[in-house]
Amino acid sequence: MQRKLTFIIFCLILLVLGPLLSNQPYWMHVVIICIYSSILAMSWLLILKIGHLSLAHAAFMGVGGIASALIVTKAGISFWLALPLSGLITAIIALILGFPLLRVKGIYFLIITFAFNELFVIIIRNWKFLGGYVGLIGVPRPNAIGAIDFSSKVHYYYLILFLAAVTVITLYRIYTSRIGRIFTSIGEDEDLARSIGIDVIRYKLIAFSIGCFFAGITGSFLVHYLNFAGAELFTTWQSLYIQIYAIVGGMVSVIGGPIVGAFSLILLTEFLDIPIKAQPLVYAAILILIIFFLRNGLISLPQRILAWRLRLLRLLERNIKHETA
Amino acid sequence: MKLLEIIDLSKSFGGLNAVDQVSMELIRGEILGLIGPNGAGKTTLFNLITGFIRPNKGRIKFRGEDITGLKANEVAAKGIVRTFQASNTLFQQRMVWENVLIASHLKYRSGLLRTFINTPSIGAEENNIKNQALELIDSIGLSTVQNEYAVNLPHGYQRLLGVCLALAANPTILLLDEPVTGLTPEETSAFMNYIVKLRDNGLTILLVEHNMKAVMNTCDRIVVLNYGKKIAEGSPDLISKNEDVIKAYLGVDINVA
Repeated sequence: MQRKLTFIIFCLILLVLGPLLSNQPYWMHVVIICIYSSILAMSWLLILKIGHLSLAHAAFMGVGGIASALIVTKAGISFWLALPLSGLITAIIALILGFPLLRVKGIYFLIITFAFNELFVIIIRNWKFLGGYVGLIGVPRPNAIGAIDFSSKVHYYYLILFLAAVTVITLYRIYTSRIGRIFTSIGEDEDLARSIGIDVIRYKLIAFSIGCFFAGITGSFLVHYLNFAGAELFTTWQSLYIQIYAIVGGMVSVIGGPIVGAFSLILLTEFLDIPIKAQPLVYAAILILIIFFLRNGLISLPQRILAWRLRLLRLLERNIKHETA
Repeated sequence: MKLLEIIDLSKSFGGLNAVDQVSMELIRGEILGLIGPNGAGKTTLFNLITGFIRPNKGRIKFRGEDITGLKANEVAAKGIVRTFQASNTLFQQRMVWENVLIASHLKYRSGLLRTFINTPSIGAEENNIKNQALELIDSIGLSTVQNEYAVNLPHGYQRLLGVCLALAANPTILLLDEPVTGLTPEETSAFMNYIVKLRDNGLTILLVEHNMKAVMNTCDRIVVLNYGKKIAEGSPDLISKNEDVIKAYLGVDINVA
């Protein structure tokens, strides 16, 4: 416990002071990707916890991203208002879609969300207003606050770090309170939850829209960061990656798992310099290995190592006894 | 006093009339047994009463109020709570006390937003309800295993925990779906004693059970279903002598020829 806390504090300090160590734009960019992927994976996992495996998380990120781009460019509203607004719009759309969708369970929900993500991409590509094949180009930077004018990647870094902090705090409050207990109980046994008076559909809608809210906010950040909003950012592949981050990191740890998964996979591909085209292959290989050998994900690795060491020690002890006897 | 009234209730799946114009009532403070051969429609009737499925026809009234077509959670909130036939219908990967705490859902009064912000009253409420949950666990005799995971419990304890979860929802009427299946005779009689104690404390109980001895010894009244129809109703003595009931259970008419 103590060790875990120290590790978390160490990571926090590293994250906050990170840019002081190196503000090389390339690494800033990589870490920004890590952080927003963590947000996506965490919020996706919230939806999984109510028993629904969504393959449309990237599409919901797209809803937020495109909404934000349009709000800023077409309506001329400040980014700082567009950011929460795009999250809200995404949440409302999730609420409307969730009303019929969340009544469908298991594999059917997965297929429907898969179809929704594909449909979303097709609609974007074929609707000029939403970007078309080219995408929305020239999405402006966030409006400057004093000296922070978002000309440097460091500014974006602190913005996404702040958004991640908001996400973590929100999800932490949810998971450690009665609300999280309700959510997860629905995922564990829906009929039992209903039998003891839990309004299953209501809570599912709440969880689904909270999850999609964070996807929407991330989308908004992303398009203003890249100055671009196009369908290729929001494909089903992206939805799959989000899942893989959470699974590889470990889904027993609802917050730490997705973060560990996103950071380790993205940093790994960067360190090994894996070409984009080979990425799915590497991810798939890692995913398979994790599922077979480390079911609870990378986050359970220290525990597993401890267990292995203990077993090894016992084995040695027995051998020594054997020899002396 | 009639607590629950079922009037001409029907439900068919495709062409099969699972429950066919059944009328019955539940009187406050009684244990009513619901028996019948396999496929008689007992569980369907259960699901209809608790709002898990909707009837095609007929009405269900609770304290004179029409509750037909309410959702399962709304029925539970009214005070009609069920258990499940399968003993593993629990929050398996959680400890016993957590199971009961989740099942105490209806006892919470504070809203979601206040819970999220964590206003001072939330902690007090949480503690209060947790203590109630622990008391309940103690009263049903599960306190020795309260920190065990539900999945690891022996079958008998899982059955008890199932009832414990239903009780945590503060029911007026408790519906038990084959609660003693798979229990030893000793466990069964202890369980039945507990149910009688619950009744004596004012709970009204509807019991579906195959164990005839248990049913005959504990129930105040019995309703018999066969092929979705009610074929008999009355005291255990009367039911055990009823020819239709004997026929339904043995399946053949021995008096022919």
